[in-house]
Amino acid sequence: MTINQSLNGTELTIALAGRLDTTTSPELETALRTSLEGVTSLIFDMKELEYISSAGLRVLLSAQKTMNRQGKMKVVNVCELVNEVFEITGFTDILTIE
Amino acid sequence: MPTKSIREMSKFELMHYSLRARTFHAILVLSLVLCSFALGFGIFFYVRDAVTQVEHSVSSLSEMCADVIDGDQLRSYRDRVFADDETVLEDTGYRTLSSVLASVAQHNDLSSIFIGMPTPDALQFRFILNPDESNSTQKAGVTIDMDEGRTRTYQGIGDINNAIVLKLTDGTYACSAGAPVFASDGTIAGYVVCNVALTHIVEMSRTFVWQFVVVLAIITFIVAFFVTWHIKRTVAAPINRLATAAAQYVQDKREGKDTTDHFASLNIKTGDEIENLSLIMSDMEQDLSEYEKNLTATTAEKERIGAELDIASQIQEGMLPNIFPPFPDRHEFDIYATMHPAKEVGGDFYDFFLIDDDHLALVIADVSGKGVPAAMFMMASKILIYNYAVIDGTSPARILEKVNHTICLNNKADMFVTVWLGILELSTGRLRAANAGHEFPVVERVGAGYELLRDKHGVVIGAMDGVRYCDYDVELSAGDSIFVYTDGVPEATDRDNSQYGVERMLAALNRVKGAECRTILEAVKGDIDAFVGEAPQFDDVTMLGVRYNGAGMARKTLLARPEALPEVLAFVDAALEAAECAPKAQMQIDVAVEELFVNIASYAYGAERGTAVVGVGIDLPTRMATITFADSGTPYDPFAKADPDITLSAEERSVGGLGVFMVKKTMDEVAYEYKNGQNVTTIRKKI
Repeated sequence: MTINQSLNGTELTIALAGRLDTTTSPELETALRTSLEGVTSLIFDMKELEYISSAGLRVLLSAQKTMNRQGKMKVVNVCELVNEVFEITGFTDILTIE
Repeated sequence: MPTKSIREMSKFELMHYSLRARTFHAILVLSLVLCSFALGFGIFFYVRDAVTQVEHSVSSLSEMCADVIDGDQLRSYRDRVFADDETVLEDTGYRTLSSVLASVAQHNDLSSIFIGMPTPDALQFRFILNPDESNSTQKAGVTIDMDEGRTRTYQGIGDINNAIVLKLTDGTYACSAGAPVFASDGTIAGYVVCNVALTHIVEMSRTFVWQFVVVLAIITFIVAFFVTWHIKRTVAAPINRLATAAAQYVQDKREGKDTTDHFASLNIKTGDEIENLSLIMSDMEQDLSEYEKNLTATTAEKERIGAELDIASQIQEGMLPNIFPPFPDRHEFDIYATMHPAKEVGGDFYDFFLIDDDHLALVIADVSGKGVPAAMFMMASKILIYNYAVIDGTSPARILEKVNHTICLNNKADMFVTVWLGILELSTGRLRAANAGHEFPVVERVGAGYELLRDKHGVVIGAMDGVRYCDYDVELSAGDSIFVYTDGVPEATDRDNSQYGVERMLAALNRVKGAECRTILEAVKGDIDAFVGEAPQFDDVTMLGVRYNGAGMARKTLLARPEALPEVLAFVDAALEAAECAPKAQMQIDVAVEELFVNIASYAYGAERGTAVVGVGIDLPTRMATITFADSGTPYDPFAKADPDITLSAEERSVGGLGVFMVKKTMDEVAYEYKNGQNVTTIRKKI
């Protein structure tokens, strides 16, 4: 998995590519822990994310909770397969998906 | 016995063992002893004869003197001397007698001659006349004490003429004899006593000894030299030649020279035991040479046989399938087999082959006897079993019957073979087997471990024609395995002659239950080796292990830890991609596999390490993928937990249970069961 971060003022865009699973989600968790300070707007670009498991969902949920306190978060460009996971798990109701 | 080798000895030490030196010394010692005796006896007889002669002549002389002396006149002289009438000394007759006696003494080498008279008690002697007037102690009129010998002589008058040997006061010896001079009236007027010094006899015997010793020494040395020379010529020289030839023989042998006449060429003609010895040595050399040639030929022959045995061993090894895994594209079973022959070529064998796509034949056998005959019999048996199995591989019993019949047709050596033959139906797991006098197989049930299967035994193959065998079935479930072996396993003996035994074998198997067949066989062999230690291996050790993975299901055993996830996914994806699975279904299956495997990896064994077995099977006609997870951790049903409430807000939600929830949602079927000590989770999804 690759994680591309671009910070524009207080708006952070994270582009994810590849698989977000048990093995790779700790990477994202670490990245978020350091990057989220002072960010008021977090955007996950999932255009090239092919795969997500519950480990990835956990990181997204945790990010959502953080952003609920300091701003807002949205997920964009979700592919069909990943979106289905969001639907099944009710994450479509939690996350702002555009 | 010399403690050194003769090669290490100095010249001086060799002298000790020289026959010449020994002979020389022996002759010298012998001569010394003989001469000593001869000299002793010689001197004894010489002295005795000489003394007798002197005694005789002294006696004769004294008697002759006594005869010629006028007794009456002597009596008058005696009376006048004893009356101390010194005028008698000047008497003409007295003087004449004195000078006559002096002349007699001088002419007869007498040391002294005198006339005297013993006292009536014969203890003393009184001189009447002594020509030697210088001797004042014995002059006329002097009385002296007599020694005991002389006294006895005068007391026994009859022996008066016998001469006696006296030891004189100066330490010399003298011979003394006395004769009575009778007066006309028959009375004894006096005694004429003649003494001869024996000094000259001593002198003569001394000379005799000296001459004797010199002559004998010369003769002894001459004889010793001659005998030594003779021994050297007839004994020592031939023996030395033999010794030199023997040394040369040894040296030539070392240098590899091929000469065979070291002893024959000596040509020793002594005509005695030494010639005999040289002839024997010559014969021995010829015989040794012959023997050596034979030995060389025999050794070469043995080497040739050894090389051929090596080849036979290689051929035999090549006959046994020994590339593992033998069928890399077949996931229904895992198989491994080994044979460790005790001799170069063994009588044990194993075999396995696919009769058709659905039937795997398994063979383990042990031929009676060992070595080449056993190996040849083994080859025949193996080929027959294979051929009959391939022709009609439905009943192991029928196959064994046919093999038995064929072998019995031509079994002149009365050999036999024990065989266990099993045919595993891969689509159902049914193992049909028959046992011709072979060891009991061992069956492992998933979770339950290995147990001996006491199957029905038939007679060994080759014993008698027309024997019937019977088939029996063992239903193997996915994960079950079977282990067969030859008697070399339980009968492996350690140094104390105790046997390894079936119990130890089962214990070793159960220590590694569930492992790959290769690991299991290696563990058993390792356990046997540890048990046997340094003791020699008497019998072949042959083992065959097969694990049934289930119908068309590939299985992979991995350490249950999250790091193994990519391996699990690659294993599952490979099977899905091969079946051209739709990407969406594949991703859902991947997610499900990840969730379930990570669950096991994280929780099943707690802090312990454990393994998980992942199985993938795809039934192509129905396009249904089945994936199973098995672990022997804490019993846990992942699907029993209530579904999380997915309608809650982000702040109220936790991710617990979400993974399993996704599995339930995306898979067509999920199932969990706990059996034989294992958690078995199964998911199914149409692809």
